[in-house]
Amino acid sequence: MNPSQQNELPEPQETPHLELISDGEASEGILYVGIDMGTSRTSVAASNGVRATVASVVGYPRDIVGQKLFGRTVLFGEEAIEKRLSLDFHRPLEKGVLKGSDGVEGNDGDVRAARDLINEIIRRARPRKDELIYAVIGAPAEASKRSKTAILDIARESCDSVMICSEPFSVAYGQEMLEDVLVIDIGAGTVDLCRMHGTMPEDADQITLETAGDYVDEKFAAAITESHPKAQFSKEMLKAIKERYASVAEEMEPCNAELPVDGKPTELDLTRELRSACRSIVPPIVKGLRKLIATFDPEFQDRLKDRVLLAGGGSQIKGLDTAIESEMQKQLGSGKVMRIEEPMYGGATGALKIAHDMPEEYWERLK
Amino acid sequence: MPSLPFASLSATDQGLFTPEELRSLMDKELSRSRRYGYEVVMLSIGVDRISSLGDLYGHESKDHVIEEITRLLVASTRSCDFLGCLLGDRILALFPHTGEPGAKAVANRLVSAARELEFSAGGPQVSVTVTVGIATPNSAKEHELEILVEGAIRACQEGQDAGGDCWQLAEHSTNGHDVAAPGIEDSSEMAKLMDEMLRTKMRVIFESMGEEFPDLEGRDSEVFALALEKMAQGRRSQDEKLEVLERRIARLSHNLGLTEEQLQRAMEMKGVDPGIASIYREVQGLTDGGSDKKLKKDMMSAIYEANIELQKQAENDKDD
Repeated sequence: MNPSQQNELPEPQETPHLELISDGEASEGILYVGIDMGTSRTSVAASNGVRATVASVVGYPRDIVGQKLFGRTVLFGEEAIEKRLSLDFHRPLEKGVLKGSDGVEGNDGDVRAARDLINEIIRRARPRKDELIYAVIGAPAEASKRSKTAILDIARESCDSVMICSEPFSVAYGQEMLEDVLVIDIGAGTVDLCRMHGTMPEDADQITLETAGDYVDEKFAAAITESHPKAQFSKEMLKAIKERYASVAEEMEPCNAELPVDGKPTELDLTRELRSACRSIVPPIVKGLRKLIATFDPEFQDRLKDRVLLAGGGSQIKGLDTAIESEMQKQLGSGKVMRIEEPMYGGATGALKIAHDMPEEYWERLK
Repeated sequence: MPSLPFASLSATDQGLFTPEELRSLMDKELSRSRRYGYEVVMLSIGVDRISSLGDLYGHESKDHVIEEITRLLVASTRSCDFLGCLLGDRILALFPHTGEPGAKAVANRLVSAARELEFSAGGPQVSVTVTVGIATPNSAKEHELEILVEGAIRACQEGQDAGGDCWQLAEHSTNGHDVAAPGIEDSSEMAKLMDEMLRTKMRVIFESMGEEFPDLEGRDSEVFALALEKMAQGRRSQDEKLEVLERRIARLSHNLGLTEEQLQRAMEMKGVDPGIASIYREVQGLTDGGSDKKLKKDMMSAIYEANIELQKQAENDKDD
């Protein structure tokens, strides 16, 4: 189609087979949406069967030329990463909270980017225009009220009714594990630990650690710099390498990555550096688990140690479940870690389940 | 029903039946007519001013006159054509297989023949006239003997009140009682009754609106008739408007469907995603069953309460 025809309706070529948009029965449906808004990735699961995930990055063409080039005014996810040099690039979340809130530095561009990101993830859930959207969004366990209200404010623009809940709690709820369970939700910005014991978790039941995916990236970068001082790399490069090879196992797949060294692409063996970086998050996690176990009813501590749920993008690090178990054995005498089946969507599907189970009157009052 | 029966449906004309037997025969005849759908008619024949005759010429004179009238009745019909009896000073005759025209013919003959009778009272000549009341059943209720007899007697009385020497057809009403016969004056009892009912209804309406019932200056009937006409006109107008609106709605619905089809086609051509419908048409909530339903319910409440707090905090922050 020529650019000049882009804004005109093309004439039908033949007698079309017409379909109704609305048959009367489809109107006034309820689309439940569960959103996991992470530092690195934002995922959505909806009651129309759609699941989608996008990197939590937003880019705006810098000028009209860029808009023409890209064909739109905003880009998201991998596309934005790929073209970031031409874009006003934003990562609107840091350590699991919106930039500009909760003591995290940010600007108006970050708020706008967060708004557009939420709009985009809901758009990717493919809602019908005649349906109400009821959304539950997972927030880090120890996110402040200010941070949560900031998310709610921007989410209300896209949703008819929206609620926030604890991210690790939504993981446990989605797995129907509501009693005597420890949840480890490893994201990019935070690792959330949550103790489930048959009631709504309180502050004392939740711990947020900052030794998460981004921490691994930093460790990885430092290790590479130490081993290969002249190697050149970006955060995105390391992230890609990590996501491809990440492992804590002694016998892991060799991590041979090509990085420019003085401008020349050079294959480097980064196995040791990557393994070391991945292993660096295990001690803080077990330390946090120890705290939650130690402050639990002693009669049920062993039961708690045997029901540890591993979720989040970071749970995909190979061998991490075994490594945590091993460390728990050393420090706590026992431990059994279970990895959830779909780590990318654990939080979103849990939030969806919460949305489904929420009574109607609660949705109405929060509209 | 007392008095002497004088005719029957028996072919041999054996004569007398007891009143109970005659009543039973009439009942059965009426039932047969209703079941098989043939016509019947009841005649009530009264000698005009018969009580005066009795007063002037004695009770025997009344009986004599009635006997002659009875003879005329028999002479003007076939004896097998009716069941008849006396009821007080009136002759009642039930004619099966006879409709209104036949009944009128009999009545005309009888009235005419009665005029020709002359009686002598030991001096002056006395002429008599008769009035015939005709009642035909027009509903299942009117097939009941008592109602038919009452109708015929009432018609006869009305004819006699109007001067006698005539026949009078009883009118039908929905409740089985006779209404005013055609040709009766506006001052008839039924017309008065209708006017009174309407006046009462109008009074109730005015009082319900807190208004005093106006003085219609004696023109009540005209006003009521006009009001009824207006109401009927209004109703017709509303019906017409309703029909127009229904046609418009049908047209709009049709156009809406076409518009939606066109819109979806345009959206598909532009690559606009119409979306995927949710599997839920209504809000769900916790389903029944499940051992941890109470626990989940408490958790939902806690999430809701926490979000209410967040909402309040947001409002406070805005105020600040």
